[in-house]
Amino acid sequence: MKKYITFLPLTIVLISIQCSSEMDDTDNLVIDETITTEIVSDSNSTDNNNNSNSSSSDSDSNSFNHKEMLTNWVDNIIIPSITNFDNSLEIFEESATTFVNAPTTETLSNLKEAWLSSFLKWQHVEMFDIGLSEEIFYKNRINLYPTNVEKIENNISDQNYDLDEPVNFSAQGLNGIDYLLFGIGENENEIISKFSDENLNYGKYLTDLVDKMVSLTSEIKLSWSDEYKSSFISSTDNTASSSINKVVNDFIYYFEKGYRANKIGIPAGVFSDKPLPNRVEAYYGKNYSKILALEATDAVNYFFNGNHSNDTESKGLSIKDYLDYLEADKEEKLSEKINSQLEKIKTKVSELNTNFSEQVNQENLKMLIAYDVIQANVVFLKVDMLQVLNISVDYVDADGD
Amino acid sequence: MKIKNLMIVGTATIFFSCTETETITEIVEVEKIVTETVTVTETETVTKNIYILPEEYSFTRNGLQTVYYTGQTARLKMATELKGHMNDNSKTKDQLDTMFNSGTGFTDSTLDSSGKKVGNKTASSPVASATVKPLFDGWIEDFTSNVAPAVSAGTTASSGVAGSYTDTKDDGTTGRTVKVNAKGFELNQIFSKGLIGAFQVDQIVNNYLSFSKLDGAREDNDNGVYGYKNDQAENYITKMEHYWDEGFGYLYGLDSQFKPGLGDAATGKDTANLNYYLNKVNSKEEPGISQKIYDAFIAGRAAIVAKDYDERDKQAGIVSAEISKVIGYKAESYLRDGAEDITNGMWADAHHALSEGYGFILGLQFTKNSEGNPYMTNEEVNSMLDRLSAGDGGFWERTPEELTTMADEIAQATGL
Repeated sequence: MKKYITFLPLTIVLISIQCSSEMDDTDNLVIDETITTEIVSDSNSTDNNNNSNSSSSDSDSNSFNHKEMLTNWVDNIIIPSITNFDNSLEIFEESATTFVNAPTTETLSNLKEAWLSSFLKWQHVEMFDIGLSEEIFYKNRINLYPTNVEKIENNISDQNYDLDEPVNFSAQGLNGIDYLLFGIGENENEIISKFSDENLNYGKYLTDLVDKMVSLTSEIKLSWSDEYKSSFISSTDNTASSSINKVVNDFIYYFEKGYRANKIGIPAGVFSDKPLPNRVEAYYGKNYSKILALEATDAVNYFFNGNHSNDTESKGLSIKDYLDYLEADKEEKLSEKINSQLEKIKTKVSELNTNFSEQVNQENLKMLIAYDVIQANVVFLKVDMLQVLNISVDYVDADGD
Repeated sequence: MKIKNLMIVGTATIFFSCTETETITEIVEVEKIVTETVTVTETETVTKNIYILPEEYSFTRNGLQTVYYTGQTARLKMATELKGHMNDNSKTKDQLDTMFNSGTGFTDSTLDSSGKKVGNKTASSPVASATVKPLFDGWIEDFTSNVAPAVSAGTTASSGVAGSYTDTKDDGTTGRTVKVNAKGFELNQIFSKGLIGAFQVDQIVNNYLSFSKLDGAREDNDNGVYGYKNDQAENYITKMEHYWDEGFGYLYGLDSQFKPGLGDAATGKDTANLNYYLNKVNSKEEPGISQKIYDAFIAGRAAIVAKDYDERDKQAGIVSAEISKVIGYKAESYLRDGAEDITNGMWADAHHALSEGYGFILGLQFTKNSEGNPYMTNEEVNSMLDRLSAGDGGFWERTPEELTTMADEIAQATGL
């Protein structure tokens, strides 16, 4: 084998010499041109991680405008989604204060509504686990489940807790509040009466959890300063730490873990010996797991296709456009496969019970079939798409040998 | 890396140009044609140099063997044991479930400490349907809660009734006895044959030899970064090498590393799994297939060492397509056997054959033909299995004509 490696360059030299010696100047010129074109078109091949996706030629009307795509992501998707979530939390905070001050059926119902509204908005934020979000484990603080009921109850009874401690990540956020609003009593009256007794401290804990989400989210919102934004947008090359590379990786990671595994796979028992119906998102609220999953499906669809968060009819440059640019001469476009698979996912998820927990208990097969259609898109995104984009996966699965 | 690419591109381009020169100048100068011939000969020499292949699947680095697949061997032993236990009335659901999903409780106690499991590798590749693994758990449940109690109570099986059933031969002697569920499923056969496809073939074809798995380790392989050490102190095996070896181990884990076919009785050999059936195909339907697969494993592994990834993928394609044939041939032939057994009134034989067929048909979705597609999709497989087991009596209700039609459809799908 060694022989081959050393022999190859030798042969090339040999050939080059022979050829050039036989050719006149005109032929040489032709060759040079051919080589140049070859190198350019070769740069999108999969075997190096240092390709021409960089935007040195942004001004060139023929090349893909990476900066414009990044700008679309930040200005029209990421920041508006965070802002929407942030705004919804303000309303949530008000409803929580009103409820804690006067726990009634009505104030509770308003609070639940506000909670759901925030939960839905959150589905558009979770996938952007970059910058400060990644540093402070933002997604684990907002949407970690299953929530740790024992921890919550202990925190409430001991009145000695620091929500910034990692041990308490599973005792806060939207799922922690899910338990407080739906799970601390057998029925609504019981729940209201627990909140009504100030000595029990449920109201205080609820307020603390909401306040924590508010403060974390405003930190995240502030972290998208003009300075950070402009450095993010100008990071157009393709290295492991560049913006496109990181966001695409986060997007796929989210699709594989946050979406596929957490919402569907884990409850359906794909990663365990048996189904785990108590692992669904918003478990105690019972009727929200499907609506949240459907919202997340839309969020994935919107980001992939570049739809603006506040006006989904409008679109800007997206991964889809980038793929189509790189596959300009392909008849069967990967982006179409991904989009048609997203449609199938939406159909299959829509067919599930509003409460995934019940779906798992009654007819888990349907959950598994939904998982299959999602998994098929994981393969498209993680294998086929990354190959076309020439991006390496920055997270690894455990290899059991 | 980039430089290497550039050179290859450069070579190719010059070649074309050379050929062009040839066409243009052919009429004028004879000398040039002679030079061309020399160039072509040089290239052929290069091509041949790549494939000085070892005759055995044996690769070393600094004198140390780099091939090992103890995890696969352990799992194949577990699968073999499970086949036996799935026919043992005294086994409880908990016991079988622990063996399958937790990898403990085996007769061979060394398996317990291996840390390996069969369950988490069953239909677990990125392309496998999540609906398959629960079937295996369901068969454990069915055997322990329906079949075993009926057999223990001495129930004779009949259409819609679980129990045991014994054939009576024409000469009045007793033939085969099977323990079956209400539909005539001999569950240890379905389970074991099912694993050949959903566990072994899926792991080899759709996981370890897949482009995404192997190419994910490309950078390390290019740079000589080692990720595995077997029993040595320091890593000395690249991830890509080891992935390929694990694929190899899923076929040969119970047999010899150094030759194709089954191992020797003295050192142990596969008696129930993929290599056992490959050996059957090798001696009947397709002589030479075992050697072909073994050689492709060698060539692909050598290509990984030589960093020749196109060649690696070509050999992976050969291994995958050839291994898939085992599932294809057996799915078809057991249905034909079943049809014949029913014609002869030998129901125990028929249930046995159809159960094997059922397991192999399940496996059709994990195959990859020479174009890289499975013989049948998950949906197509499910619809055929539904037909095979239709009615409360399942296999008891099948006619030889129905089975022959299904066998023909499988032959159509596999092209074998």
